[in-house]
Amino acid sequence: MNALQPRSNSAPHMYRYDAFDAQFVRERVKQFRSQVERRLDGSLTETEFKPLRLMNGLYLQLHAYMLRVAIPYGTLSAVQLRQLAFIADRFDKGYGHFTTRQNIQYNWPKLKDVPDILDALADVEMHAIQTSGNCIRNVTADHFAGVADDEIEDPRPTAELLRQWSSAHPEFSFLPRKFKIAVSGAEHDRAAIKVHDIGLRIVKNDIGEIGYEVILGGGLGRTPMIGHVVREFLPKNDILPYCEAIMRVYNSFGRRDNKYKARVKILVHETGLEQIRAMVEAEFNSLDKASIAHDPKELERIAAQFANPVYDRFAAKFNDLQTQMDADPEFHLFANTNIASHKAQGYSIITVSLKPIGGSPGDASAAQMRVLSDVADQYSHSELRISHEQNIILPHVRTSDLYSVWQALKAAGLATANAGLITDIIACPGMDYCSLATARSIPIAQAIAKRFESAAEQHDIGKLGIKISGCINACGHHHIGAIGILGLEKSGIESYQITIGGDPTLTTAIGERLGPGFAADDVPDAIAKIVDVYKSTRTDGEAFMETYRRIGTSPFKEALYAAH
Amino acid sequence: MGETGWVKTHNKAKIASTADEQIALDELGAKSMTANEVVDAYLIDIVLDQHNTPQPTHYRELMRTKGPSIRLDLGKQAENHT
Ligand code: SF4
Repeated sequence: MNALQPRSNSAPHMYRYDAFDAQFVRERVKQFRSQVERRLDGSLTETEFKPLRLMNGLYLQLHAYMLRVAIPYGTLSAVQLRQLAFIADRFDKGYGHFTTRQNIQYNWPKLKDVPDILDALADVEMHAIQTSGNCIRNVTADHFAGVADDEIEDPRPTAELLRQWSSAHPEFSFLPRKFKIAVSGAEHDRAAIKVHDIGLRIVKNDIGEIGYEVILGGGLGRTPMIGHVVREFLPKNDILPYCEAIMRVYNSFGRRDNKYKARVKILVHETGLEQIRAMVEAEFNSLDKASIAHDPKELERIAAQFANPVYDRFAAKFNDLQTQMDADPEFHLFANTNIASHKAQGYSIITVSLKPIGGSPGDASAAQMRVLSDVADQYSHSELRISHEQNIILPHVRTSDLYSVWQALKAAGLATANAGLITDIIACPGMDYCSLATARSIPIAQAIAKRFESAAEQHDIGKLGIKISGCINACGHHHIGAIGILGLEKSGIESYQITIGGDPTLTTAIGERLGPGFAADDVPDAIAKIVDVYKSTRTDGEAFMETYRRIGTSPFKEALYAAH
Repeated sequence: MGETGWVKTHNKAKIASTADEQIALDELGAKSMTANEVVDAYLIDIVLDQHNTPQPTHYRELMRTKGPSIRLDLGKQAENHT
């Protein structure tokens, strides 16, 4: 039935499922197929079916079911993305939504089709397992993994090791709450590791050994908290026993009496860092580490599969980029924002923005997915990444090909030159789709983007992250937006609270609320006032966050509320 | 729930005007959920428009009767979308 024949999912330098993974995923699909049949013939009620569908990433949203598919550590092959496009066309409404946790969500699947979708995913070594429920969720990683010029080590082998360890782990399948792990291997944090339950940072110690800084107890949601360093340097071989120790402490002492206090951040907060550290270390020391630790050869095997492609050594000779930029102002703008430096000479990283002015942040049509697959095949060693900022990355592009890639992207409406700028807005689905929402997010993002549509103005404002959530669950990461927007309900209408000063990087900060909420129509004006304060106060070359740190919240508050 | 059973659009929905009618409709919803006829039945606040058709008062329920506000080609509203 599938349009695509099963074939290798991977560019040669990408991780491949082993036979165990493949069999496990197929068996789960088969099992779920029978559960869906029983639901459709009425033998299972929704109450009985709900926990079963959630174990397979199937939610019930405002208008329809929603299927959340994991993209482990955000890495996709061109073949996989093409299959995601096929699923969007064949079983959904021709598009998908990329989320802040490196997943893709389909908003309109019919229940009867879901087992076929899962089979189509399994054909390309993908699945929707552990994208829901109180288990260890999709492990996320830096979207520039393996290619960033500030990288110590590729975080994906660690993320894959953790995926294997946590998949269907019998002890950790019914935790007090969901559990999210992110891994970064670079000097700069692009994976928001300090707002995850566990954040792992690959570091080098004084004698040059590579290990992990372990950060515990971060998280957003209704009680945002910044994670604490629980272990400054963990030797590499101890990663699984140490995580096992953390999970055991959490599983034993995490609060199951109150859903809102059940995340590990609350346990860390209520118990105190020193005490938690002592508990984790005691558990760690009591474990039979050898039986839990990975075989270093296995990590080597995994790492070998993530080895970068063989780069063209003549690529480094290209030095006409500046000339190309000077000759084409539109390309110049794109190059300024959407191209990052690569660790291999003569190569670059492209961020393809899924934030066209007036579009839905993170949405890509099936046609766009296909274009991106083709571009990746032709120019990026058949590999792509999904960022937690809801954009798509082409990680291995010859610098000499940048102009051609840009032209191909432009023809498909995928060359919006706004990565990191004010219109590169992160927004959760909000009330347009989500049953938990208290307000809409997407129309707010669209209105702000339209307000700052002018490329010249965006580039003049410079780096400024706006993040929007449609409820206190904070899937849109509003707490860590330089400007954060939280949609709530106030007396039967949507009301938007604005925070300022949030920071998702290693200098993580939770934004500060500026005052009472705004009606939806007033949000773009409010954002414009904040931007005006910045523009009139900044010193030469000072970014928004730097100005904010220098002048504090008062001038912004005044601009928003003085006349009220 | 309409006059002759469950309906797909809100404009044919039964209206409860008294507390007793509300309780009766609630019970019916619960029974239908147990019987596996519907998922998640609940009462919503409505007003009658100029055609005497019930319209939800809350924006969330209004959204459910239509579809995503940013994609008029999707959801129940798609039928009227050109
Ligand atoms: S933040 Fe709230 S509204 Fe947005 S996706 Fe998460 S649960 Fe839904």
